[in-house]
Amino acid sequence: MTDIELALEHHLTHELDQLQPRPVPTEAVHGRARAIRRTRRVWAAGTLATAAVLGTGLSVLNPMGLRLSADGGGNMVTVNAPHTDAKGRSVFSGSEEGKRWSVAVAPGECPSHDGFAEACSGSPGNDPVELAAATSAGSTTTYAVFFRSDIARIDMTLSDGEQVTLLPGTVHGNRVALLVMPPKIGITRAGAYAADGRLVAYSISFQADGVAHLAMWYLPDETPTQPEASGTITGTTPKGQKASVDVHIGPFGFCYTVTQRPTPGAIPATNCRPLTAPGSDDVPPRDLDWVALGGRVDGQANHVDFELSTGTVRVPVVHIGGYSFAVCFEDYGFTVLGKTTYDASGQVIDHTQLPAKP
Amino acid sequence: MRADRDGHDAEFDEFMVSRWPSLVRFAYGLTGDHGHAEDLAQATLAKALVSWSRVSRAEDPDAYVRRILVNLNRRRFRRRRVEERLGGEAPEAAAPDSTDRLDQRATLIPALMELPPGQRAVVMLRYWDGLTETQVAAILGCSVGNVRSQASRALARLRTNPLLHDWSAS
Repeated sequence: MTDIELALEHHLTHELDQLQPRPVPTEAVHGRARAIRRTRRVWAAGTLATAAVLGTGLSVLNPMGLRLSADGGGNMVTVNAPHTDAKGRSVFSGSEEGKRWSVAVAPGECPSHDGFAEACSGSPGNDPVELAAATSAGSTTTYAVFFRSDIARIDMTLSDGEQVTLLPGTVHGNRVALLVMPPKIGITRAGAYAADGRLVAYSISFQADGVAHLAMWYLPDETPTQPEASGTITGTTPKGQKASVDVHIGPFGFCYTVTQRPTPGAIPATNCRPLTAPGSDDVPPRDLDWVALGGRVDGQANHVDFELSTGTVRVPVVHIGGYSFAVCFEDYGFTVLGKTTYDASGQVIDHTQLPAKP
Repeated sequence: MRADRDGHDAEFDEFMVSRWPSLVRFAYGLTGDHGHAEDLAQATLAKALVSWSRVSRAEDPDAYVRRILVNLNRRRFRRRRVEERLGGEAPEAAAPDSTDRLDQRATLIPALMELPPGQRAVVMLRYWDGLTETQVAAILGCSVGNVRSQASRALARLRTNPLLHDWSAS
């Protein structure tokens, strides 16, 4: 081992040995395991019954780890209203391409199905509805749909024209609906309604890589007028890797797809917010060694200085569809300290200083 | 049957009690958060219990359980939505939470959190667990070459960390 490896080994041991875990949660582990076993048993029984009636239909464990069983329903996607069972658990259920699914979540616990893990890691935000999705290529997509406190119901229109109504259950104190979508069906529109039935806002989703993203929310009387446009911003990372961001503009808002090139099989990462900075809870896919930083800037902007802990990076502005963007590609390991936007004459248009970390 | 189940559970309980601290510490090295680490360790053990007959028969049950933990942690990162902090607040630092009893002067774990998750897993398995490159590759389901390159990149990034730099210098 080299010196640095020995040092790493020593300091990892030293630091982690100081962490004092709480007592072994024996009951919690057994309870969680019982929940997994119980769900499997329930689905096994349901499958046998269905097979007896229909003469077909075997239990399927899809790549998301979600137990499904055959059902005769005609709709591609159905979602039942969540209810609380005798044990106080929120029970979510529905079907996807005729296959029923069901998840029971005890208070304070997370769904036992991995595909719904997002229901525990996400939270509602400022938008009426937040979507958190988990998917794998060519497979179903599971969504945890977070309701803002003033939202009582969400109506979704799917790409095949179906309508799905979502009502909230409770997961980890959040008001959440769970949804399973087949790979070929997308979400085209979401309407968020208040308890009195009034439409609060609606959003047109951007669908990429099998996942719907809700970017821009419109008031009921607003009509999306934003013209559609797209373009690619390319660049090179400090280590010489070719990088690019595809910018999509439309009534859905502004969405970005980050791709590492020419890495074969690299998974593009799409988001409908300005681009990332490292250290946030969300991270780009593991295939990426760098991050794209920046996003839309003032139309008068000529260039932008990103002030990073590793130095200042000057980025020229790129114009796509009448909008201006400044994007740079940086290796991991920096902190964003600020951003200064300049016009063509070198005058500062905008300066953002980020608070220092404690 | 019942005795068999109890027998299995007793064996598992022994395993759980003996491995709990190291699983939490390993998970902490991947997440940088005490709460997430304990939740991840708990979920890992629950999955191991459900498949205990298979886990206990495995050639290396510890490696099997590490694999469960790494895979569960990977799913935390599936979400493609990427939050922006530039326009408003600073990116969230993956700092240890206040419930930790870690030495505040310790700086390696936060530095680890700035690595991509794959490199982080390699560092923890290779340099904290002390596994060989072949063992790490088996747990992560990738090639030995990939483990080697991930470790090399991680070391290059961590090299500037004062703790490691000082050690190397001395």
